[in-house]
Amino acid sequence: MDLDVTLPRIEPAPAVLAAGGREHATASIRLGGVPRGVAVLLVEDHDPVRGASEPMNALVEHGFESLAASVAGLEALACDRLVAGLLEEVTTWDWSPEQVGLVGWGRGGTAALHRCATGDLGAAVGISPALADVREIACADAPRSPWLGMVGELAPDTGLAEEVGSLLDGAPAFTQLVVYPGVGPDFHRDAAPALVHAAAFDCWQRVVEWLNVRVSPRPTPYAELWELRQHHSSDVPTPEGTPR
Amino acid sequence: MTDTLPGGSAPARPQYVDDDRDAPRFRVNRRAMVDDDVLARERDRIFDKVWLYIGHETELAKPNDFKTRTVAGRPLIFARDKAGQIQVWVNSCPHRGAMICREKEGNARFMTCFYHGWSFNTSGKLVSVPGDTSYGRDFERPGLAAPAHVDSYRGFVFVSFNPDVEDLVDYLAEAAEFLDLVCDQSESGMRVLEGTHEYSVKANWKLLVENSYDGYHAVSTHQRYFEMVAASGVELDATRLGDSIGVDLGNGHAASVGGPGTGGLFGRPLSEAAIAEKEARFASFRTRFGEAWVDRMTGARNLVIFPNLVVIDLVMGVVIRKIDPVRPDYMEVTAWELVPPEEGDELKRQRLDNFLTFWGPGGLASPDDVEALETCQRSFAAHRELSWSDVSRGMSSPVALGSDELQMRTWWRRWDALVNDVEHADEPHDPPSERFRGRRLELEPVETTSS
Repeated sequence: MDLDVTLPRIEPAPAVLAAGGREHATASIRLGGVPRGVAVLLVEDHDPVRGASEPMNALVEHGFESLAASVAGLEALACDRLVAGLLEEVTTWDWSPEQVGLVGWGRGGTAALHRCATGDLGAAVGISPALADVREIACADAPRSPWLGMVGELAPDTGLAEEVGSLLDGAPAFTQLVVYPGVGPDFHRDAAPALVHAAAFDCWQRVVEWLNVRVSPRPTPYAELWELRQHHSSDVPTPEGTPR
Repeated sequence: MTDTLPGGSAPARPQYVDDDRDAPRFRVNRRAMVDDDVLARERDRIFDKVWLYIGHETELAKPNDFKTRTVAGRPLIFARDKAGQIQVWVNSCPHRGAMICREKEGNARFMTCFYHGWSFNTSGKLVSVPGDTSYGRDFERPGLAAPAHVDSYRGFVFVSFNPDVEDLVDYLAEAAEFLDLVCDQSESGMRVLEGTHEYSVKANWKLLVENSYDGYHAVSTHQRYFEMVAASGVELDATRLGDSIGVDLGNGHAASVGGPGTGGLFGRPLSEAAIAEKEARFASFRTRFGEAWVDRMTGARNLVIFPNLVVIDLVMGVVIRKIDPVRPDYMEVTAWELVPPEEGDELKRQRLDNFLTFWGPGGLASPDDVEALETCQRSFAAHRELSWSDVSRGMSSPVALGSDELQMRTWWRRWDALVNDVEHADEPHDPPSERFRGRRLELEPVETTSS
């Protein structure tokens, strides 16, 4: 995805995360101040710094910190363990699950859907997930957190879209399945053909909007003070470090 | 028209309703349809005081679903919050006033005002203020404003801007039973279908209220619809049109009610399978609620819940209609179709067909009504020369028929009481016959909730 405006670029910081009995390369962008939320990205590229740098920078524009890892070569169970490890990691950054947007490409998208069964995530997105996998997950564990799926019409199993859409409609959480006409599973990788460019652009717009209206924002120190005052109407001592 | 009180000491309000029981004669002054001052008083004394329909719970299927609606001129957000509770919020940022939500519907847990970026959740709480340190640590963070009361009856959600309004069930009075007759038509709960009719009429809003349960106009105004139905092969028994009564349901609510079996009059032909499906469903209702109640369920009913909610169960479908005054000579109308979700494809198709071709703004009935009402409004320019409309039909009859005008008189008496402080006695009629009074029995458990 190309940014329309040239902005200062932040190089994601590489690290290694142990999860599910194995080590995973990760990339992260931390922000100062009071970030809007955090996005956990599951990319297909083996190198998360290379594969996730662009969307991570795009998310920074909307105030999201991010942590990315690769799902390349991982089976479903290993993906789930990786997701658990990444979510645990961002809790150490002081993010609760409802402040997390989980965005996955390909298999990462189905892993994001699977994680929705617990119902505690702010939002999740699957970009070009295999619909056969989506169907299987939706049948077994109906999503309880909002999930957005986007697929290309020319992807191998898009014939399942109607069935999958009906399944997801019956889920407790709000879900949406978008099928982009005339494009294949790689529609999210921006390219010159008009339909691909349009799909890639629209796809990213939807990701950002999906997260913005669902991921719970982190309260500022003053907002936390206000919360405290609501719960204890009497005088509340100022927490250490609270700006005045 | 009386313009001064006896004695001439203080100016009095004009007389808008002439309720002469001796003649008997009931008339409405046409100035009520053209006067800005009347609409201002209606807003102040009706729309700011009573319960008003905003929407149906089933329109908000999932947590954080929302619709934006206008009720009593106010922009509102009708939402289901994250916990699944129905919420109604004023669609205005408490900061500087911009609308927080500019979409008609959607799903969002957080709504951000595009003017300065304040964010609120569907529970109405302010969750984010850009650069909030500039407000200081003691800033009282305002949540979204809400109507004074929100309540629902069997899925029908009402709001009131009056902190002292009576309980919703008390307000609905006997109209609640007519909502039961509609809501009992599904084992899993009636649902509003997606897709809304929205249209405007260049006429006073009260004209459509009158029209909505006016049985008298049907044959003359909708002649071409009846011709179309006859041409489709349906045997049309015009005498069944007379099998109806008008009933006063209290608090200004009233209905035109058809006898058993009249609900399907004027519909499209159905296949044997669809007829059998319909009969089987009603047979199961008979087991649950008793014969007399289900006989009533099969009848047509045109119900107006004062002031502006219309529920019409007629021509094989149930229509919910909300009427909103904009100016004295202009109203906006919104209509939804309420259906039993378990119904088979053919019956559902027929309902939708009727919703479109009978009730739709481009259908075979609503445009006739719109034309009638708009010509009324245009003619009211001569209200000084021809001041009164007559609404007396059936006033002296022992039993008011559906083609009489008791329903409108009931509404107008309540209107006059609220707008002009003029009280009117109820109109005496014999009680309806037994077949219009059958009670609902609880022969088998059924889930009905009033929250």
